[in-house]
Amino acid sequence: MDVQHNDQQLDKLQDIFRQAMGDSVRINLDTRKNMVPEWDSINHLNLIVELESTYQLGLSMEEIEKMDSVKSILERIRDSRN
Amino acid sequence: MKISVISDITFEPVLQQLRQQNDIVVESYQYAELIVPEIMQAGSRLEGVDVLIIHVDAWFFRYEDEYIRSILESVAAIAGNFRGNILLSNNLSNGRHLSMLKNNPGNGSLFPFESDVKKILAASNVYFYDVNRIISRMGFQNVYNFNLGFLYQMPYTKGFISALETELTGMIRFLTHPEKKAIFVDCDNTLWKGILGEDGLSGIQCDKNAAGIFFYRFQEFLRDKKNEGFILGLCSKNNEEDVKEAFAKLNMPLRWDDFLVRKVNWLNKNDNLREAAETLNIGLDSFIFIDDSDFEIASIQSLLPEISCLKLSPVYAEFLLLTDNFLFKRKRLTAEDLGKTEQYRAEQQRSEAKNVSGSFEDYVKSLDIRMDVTVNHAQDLPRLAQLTEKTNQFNFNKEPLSIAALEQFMSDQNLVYGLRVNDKFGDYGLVGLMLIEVDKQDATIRNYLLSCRALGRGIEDDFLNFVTSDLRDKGLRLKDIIFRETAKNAPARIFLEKIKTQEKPALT
Repeated sequence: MDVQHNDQQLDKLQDIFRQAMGDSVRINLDTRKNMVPEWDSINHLNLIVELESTYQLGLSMEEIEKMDSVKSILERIRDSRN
Repeated sequence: MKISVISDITFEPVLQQLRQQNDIVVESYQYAELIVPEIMQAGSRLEGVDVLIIHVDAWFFRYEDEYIRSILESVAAIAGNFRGNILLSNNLSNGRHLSMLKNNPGNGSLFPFESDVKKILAASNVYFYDVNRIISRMGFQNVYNFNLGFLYQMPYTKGFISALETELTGMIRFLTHPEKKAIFVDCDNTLWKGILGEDGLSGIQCDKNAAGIFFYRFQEFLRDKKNEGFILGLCSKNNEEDVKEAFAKLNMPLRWDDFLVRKVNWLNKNDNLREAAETLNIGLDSFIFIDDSDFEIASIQSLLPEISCLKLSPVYAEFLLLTDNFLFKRKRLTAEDLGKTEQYRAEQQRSEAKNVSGSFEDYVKSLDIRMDVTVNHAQDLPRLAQLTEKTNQFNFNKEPLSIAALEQFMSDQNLVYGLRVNDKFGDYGLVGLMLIEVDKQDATIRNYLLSCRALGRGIEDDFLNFVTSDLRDKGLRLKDIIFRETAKNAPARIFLEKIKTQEKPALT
C-alpha cells in the first residue's frame, strides 16, 4: 500500500519536474539535484513555484534550499499532509 | 518579432509562454537593483528590437523616490533613439506611499510619480503597464512570495506569474498589431436580457435593476467605445422592425442610430459580417465580434478566423475582464478618432449621392472637395504618426513612425506634408502624408500615404501634383519615389504604375 502510494506521488512529481524543467527530465526516488543537468537555479525556482502551487505549501527559505533531492521533496510533501 | 527584457527581478518564469511562440525571439537581462545603468546601456543595443520590456518592482526592492525618478528619466532618455516600443511594466507604488499614517508625499495622490510618468508618456513609443491592475484583482497576499524573492530575486507566486504573462502577451500583441476598428454585437442576451422574439418587448431587460444592470453596463461600455472612435455594428438573428422598436421604446444607453451598420436578419452571421466589412471598406482583421452563443462564436472563429471573437457571459467579474481586454484599447486618441462615426456616416451619404448622380466625374465634382496642405506642422505629428501605423492600402512604404521619428526627420531639412480634406458632406480630417527627403537640390518621396476614406476621388493625383509643384517652387528636383510592396498595398502600386505611364510623368 505504502509502495503504491509512493509510486503515485512519484508520477505526479515527475509531471511537475517536466513542467518546471522541460519534457526530457526523468527522475526516480534516488535523483539528486547535482545528477540532473537541467536542475539549475532558475529551474529550481520554477520547481519551487510549481510545488508550492500544486501542494499548497508555504516553504521557508531553509526548506527551499534543502529540497535538493526527490526524497527530500517527497518527505516535505508528506509532512504537510500530517 | 524580437523582444528584449530588462528587469530587476528574475524574469525567466514570466517568459516561458512567450519563448514557446515560434515567431518571437526573447532576450532577457536581469540586474537586481541596478536597473538604471542597464537601461542607459540598452539604448545602444536595441537595433531590431520590436518591444523592450522594462519591468521594475519598486515595492519588493523598496527603492527610494529619487531612484524611481531616475528610472523614469532613463526610460525617457533612450525612447527618442529607439524605433520599437518601450513597455514599462512596473509596480512603482512603493509600499511606503500606501501608508495612511504617513504624510503623503504625493500631494493627496496615492501614486506619487504621476507627473513624472506623464512626462515619459509624451514620447510616443513609451507605454506604461501598472501591475496594480493585476494586484487589485488578485489581492496582495496572492501576489508576493517573499522567500522566493529573497533567495532568487523572484518575488511572485505562480498565480501572479501566469496573470502577468497573460497581460504582457496581450500588451505585446496590442503594441505590434494594428488596432481594432469595429465592434459587432449580437442583441438577445448580449445587449439585453431575454430573447426579443420570444419574450416580447416587455420581457427583455436592460436597466439599473438587478436583472438588467449587467446589460445596461455593457451598453454604456459600447457607447464609450463609440466615443473613442470604434464603429459599432449589430449582427443579430431577429426581425429588424422588432429590434428597431426595442431601441425606440426602451430607455437604454445605446440608440438604433449609434450602430453604423445593422445586420438584423435571419442570414448566417458570417455572411453578414463579410458584407459589413465590404460596406465599411475595412478588413475583417479589424473586427471584434461579441455574442453570448458558443455556436455563433465557434462558427465565426472557424469561417472568419481574422475576426477576434469574445464571448459575453453574464458574470460580472468576467465582464470586467472582458472590457479590460487590450483589443478595446487605443494606443493614442486623436481628434479624428473622436469623430469617426460621423465621418463614416458622411461617407454613407456620399455613396448614396454616387448612386443617384450620373457619371463618376460629375459625382466627384458634386462633392465640392477642398484640400488643405500643411508643411512641417508640428501639431499634426500625433495624427501623422498614427497614419503611418494604420494606413495599409494606399501606403507606398509601410513604415510606422513615432512622433519622435517624424520630428527627427523634419529637423534634418526634410519636408513633412500633411493633407486635410473636406467636402460638402463633412470633414475627412487629416488623411494624407507625404515625406520628402531632401539632399541638396534632390528630393525623394520617401513615403506617400492616404487614408482609405480619401481614396478614389482624384485626391491621390491632386495631392501629388500639389507637392511636386511646391518642390519645384522651392528649387528642388524630384529624383525618386520609394515604393515597397506589401500584402495590402495594391492600391498604391496601381496608382504608381498609372502615373509612370502618364504623358507628363511626375518622375523625371
